[in-house]
Amino acid sequence: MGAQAPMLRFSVVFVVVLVTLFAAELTPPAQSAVVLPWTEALVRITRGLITLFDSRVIAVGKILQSTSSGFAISVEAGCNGIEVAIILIAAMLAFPAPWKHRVIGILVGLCAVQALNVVRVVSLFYLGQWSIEAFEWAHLYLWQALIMLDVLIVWLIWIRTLPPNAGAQPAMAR
Amino acid sequence: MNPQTAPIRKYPGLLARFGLAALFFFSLPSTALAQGYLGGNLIPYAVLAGTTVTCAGAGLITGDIGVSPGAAIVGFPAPCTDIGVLLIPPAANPGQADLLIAFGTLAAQVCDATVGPDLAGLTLVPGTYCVNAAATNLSGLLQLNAQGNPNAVWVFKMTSTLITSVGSTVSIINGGPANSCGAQWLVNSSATIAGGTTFRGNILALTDITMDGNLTGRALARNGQVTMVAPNASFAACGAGAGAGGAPPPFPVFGAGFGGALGPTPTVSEWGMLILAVLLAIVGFAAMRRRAR
Repeated sequence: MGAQAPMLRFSVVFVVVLVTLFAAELTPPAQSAVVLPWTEALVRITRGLITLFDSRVIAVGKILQSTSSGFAISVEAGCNGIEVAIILIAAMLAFPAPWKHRVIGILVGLCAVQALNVVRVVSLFYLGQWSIEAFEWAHLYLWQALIMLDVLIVWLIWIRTLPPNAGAQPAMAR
Repeated sequence: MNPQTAPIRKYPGLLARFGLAALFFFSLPSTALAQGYLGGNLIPYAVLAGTTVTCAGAGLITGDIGVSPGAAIVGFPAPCTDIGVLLIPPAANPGQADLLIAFGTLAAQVCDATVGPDLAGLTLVPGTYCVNAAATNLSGLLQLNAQGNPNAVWVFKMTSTLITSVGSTVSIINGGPANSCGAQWLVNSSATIAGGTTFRGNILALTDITMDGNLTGRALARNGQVTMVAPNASFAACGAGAGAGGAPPPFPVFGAGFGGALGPTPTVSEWGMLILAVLLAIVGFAAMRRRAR
């Protein structure tokens, strides 16, 4: 029973933090202060990186467009990697670990998710100009799997970096 | 009980994946090509000035706004709204350099005919036209006949100023909105677009541009300022698609997330997120069980 208490606590905290963060994300203040600005920032960052090798790209709000082909993608809420990051953050907050490791893990995790999401948007942008079928397949299947794999790998690596007895301790003691 | 003495592992996996991602990212093929008379650095701009960009009314500008070598951009984010980015030196320098090149390229064009100086009532096929100075260069409707060619180009070489009268219009026939940026207005002095004017094309002025109307195209001033004085003035880079007044873009937008044309597909679907959460929990349980031994 004693060995299962930390697991039970992890489960409960994980679900509570997850629900809390998702609920907070859906509120209008969070949408206007975080989600939408980040979505537009993501488009601008992506455009900034693309212009390093392709100057014929413009960012208009949430829209990234090629001025040569006219093709455009709209990065909508839900496409900005925030939801996936929330799952990772909730797991790291729930897992018994020193706060220093949690903070480092969350920061690295956010960077990993968002960096891969930028690559995802760039790849979809060019795939769409080449083939709509390839765009749809990568959009619906390939990138979902890769993003999930990315989060899972970050999670595994983070757990391996924890002190050996971190998971065996009651989290409140940390 | 001293967790800080545990070996701190680095993140070789992460670094490796970042490296692979960067390799993939930077190895993508470049499709950069010169587009028409405007260099690639100039394409994203809706407004570019040499000294100052000022917006005094509640206008909407679609596209980037830049100033170089000056650095003053006034009127943003209020009263004007820009759907794009604001750029000053050094970021705006390449755009101004391309403007200089475009100016020289257009100036070297040989005129097919001299028209006007009031262009009202004319219907012009693609070509290069010289236009002399006058109290007004457009007092009514000018039609540009694209003849079904999406790449149709009209070059207007204004020997001095470009001045339009209130309520005048430049329209495209036998073509589409994309033809708007096929019109190049090379102005050897200043351009003044009067209120109520619906103007199309890229204005490349040597000194100042004063806009009191709607423009589908670009306002590009080499040495002077761009001043937008009227409420509801709307500048739109043709490439961005949004026409005068901020109309919906006339190009396909493929949503990469919720609400897109391809349906509700976020970064990871609802089922994907559920599976991911369960996977993280299972891995967490396993790690805790192993560490408890």
